[in-house]
Amino acid sequence: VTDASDQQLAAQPTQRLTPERVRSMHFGRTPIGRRGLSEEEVTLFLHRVADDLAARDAAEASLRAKVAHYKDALMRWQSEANADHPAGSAASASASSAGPPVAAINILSQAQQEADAYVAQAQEYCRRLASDARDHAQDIVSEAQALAEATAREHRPPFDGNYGELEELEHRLVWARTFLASLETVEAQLRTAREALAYELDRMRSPTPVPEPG
Amino acid sequence: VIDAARLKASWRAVAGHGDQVPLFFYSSLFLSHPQTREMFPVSMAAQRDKLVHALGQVISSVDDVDSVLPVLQQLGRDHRKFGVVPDHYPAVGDALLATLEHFSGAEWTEQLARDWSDAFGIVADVMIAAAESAATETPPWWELTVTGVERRSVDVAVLTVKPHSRLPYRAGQSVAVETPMRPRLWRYYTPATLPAADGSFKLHVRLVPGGPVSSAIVHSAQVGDVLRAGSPVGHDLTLDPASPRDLLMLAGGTGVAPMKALLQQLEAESSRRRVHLYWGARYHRDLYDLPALRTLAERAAGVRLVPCLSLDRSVTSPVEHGSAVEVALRHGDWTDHEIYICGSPGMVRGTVAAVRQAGLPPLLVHVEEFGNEETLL
Repeated sequence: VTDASDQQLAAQPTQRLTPERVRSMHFGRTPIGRRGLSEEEVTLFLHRVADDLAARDAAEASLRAKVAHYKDALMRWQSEANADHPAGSAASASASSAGPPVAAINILSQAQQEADAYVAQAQEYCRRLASDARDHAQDIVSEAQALAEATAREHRPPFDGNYGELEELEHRLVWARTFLASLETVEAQLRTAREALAYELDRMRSPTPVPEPG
Repeated sequence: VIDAARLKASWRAVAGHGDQVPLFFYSSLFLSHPQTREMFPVSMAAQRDKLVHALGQVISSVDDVDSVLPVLQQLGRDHRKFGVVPDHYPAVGDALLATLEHFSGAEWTEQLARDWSDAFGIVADVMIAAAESAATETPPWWELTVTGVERRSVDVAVLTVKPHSRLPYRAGQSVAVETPMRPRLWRYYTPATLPAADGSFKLHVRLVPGGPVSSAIVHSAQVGDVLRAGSPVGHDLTLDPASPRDLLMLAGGTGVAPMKALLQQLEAESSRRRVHLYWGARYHRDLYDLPALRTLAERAAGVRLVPCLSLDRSVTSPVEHGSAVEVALRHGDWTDHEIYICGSPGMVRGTVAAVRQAGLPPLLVHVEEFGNEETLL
């Protein structure tokens, strides 16, 4: 039961859990007959945890952006206080050497996280709808099957519908043999009738009476 | 010379920040090069995990570049279908360095920056070279026109597609497919036939509840739609022409697709190898391709088809009850057979475990290793 999740976790021992890995976590099923957890509750909870993780990531990122901002400000203040250095030249020392400002990056990251959460929510909703619909369809089919079987039992000849598969087969065999036997009777009757007919025809064709066969 | 130990330590420290790292990377990339955003899907969650995983894989073997070479070359080739061109690589390199610098804090030194920059340069060179050499042989992607849509059951559609130019694949190989209804999302599907005279082939698509691509295809695909497909991939489910062994095929649901293609190949080659195909489904109505498979099995002398139902007790013949592997193991000893397994991830996991437990030789077990979803890094 645990091997699926163990494999997934063992795949990347150094990697921290991400919202996506939490959301897409699949657990093995308990063998039929053993009690397990409610799948829906587990899924709902996983999504809740994923959202929480994302929120913490965002909070941490914005704290780091603030730290970067204060460091820059401190550096600027120090360089301005120091008369030996011309203003502005030190500011570049700590600012990130390439790329857009961290604050802008974080805003985009948060927007992305929100989009991810919306998409995940929509997909989860679709998944629930689809599997509910599937279960519902299964219920309808099972009910219809049960009804059909009950109806068939009711209208069956007075064999009191309580035999196993083998007895059912026996019953059908007996029925088939009876049917075959009656077919044979009919066939014999037909043969006799045909012979009689042929005799009559022959008699009509020939001018003189023919002795009867046999 | 790159200091591999330093690079690994640096990556470990950065990767400790989890999802924030790829978040920062992509935001930085998109802000400096907005045109790259449209190459990605709306949700980036799966994307980010993929990137971190791939980076970790490359970094962990940075002192043995040869061992990751095939992986990188494949990545370079595969990225052509996403529309990646050499110009994109420096942009990615800049964003990567900015990200590493941001998360390294005081640990970031010029030395480290140089190491990372050199390492990225090597990776980019390998990927670009592989992409360019592939470009001389195959297009970056193939366009496929949908010429037939059959909705076979509540959740399975069979598409007939015709590639605009010849798409060379072997029976058992898969192609990544993108539908215009869900741009930037690629999923692997396995052709269920050999190519017809005009190059057409069939795809069996099962609706994964909540799956954006499969839902769109099963519910809304229409004749005339144009899909995109990447290069055929995978060698684990193809036939080994040198093997004289008979085959045991264990398929679940649409996992029967590659098996059908393999059967057609064996028939086309007038192979004498015998095939036992156990096809598992939950209910009888889920055996969406039964008539065609029956015909195939009746036509070919050496093919035995055994439909297996795991939940349906109302149908008694000519089907067996249980999962494909349960029934197969009940039926006999398969020691001398090549065993082909395909189905949902859960089915494959369970089947491989059962086969191993039965003591069948692992070397003869054929399973496709990649997931069913493929993304740009």
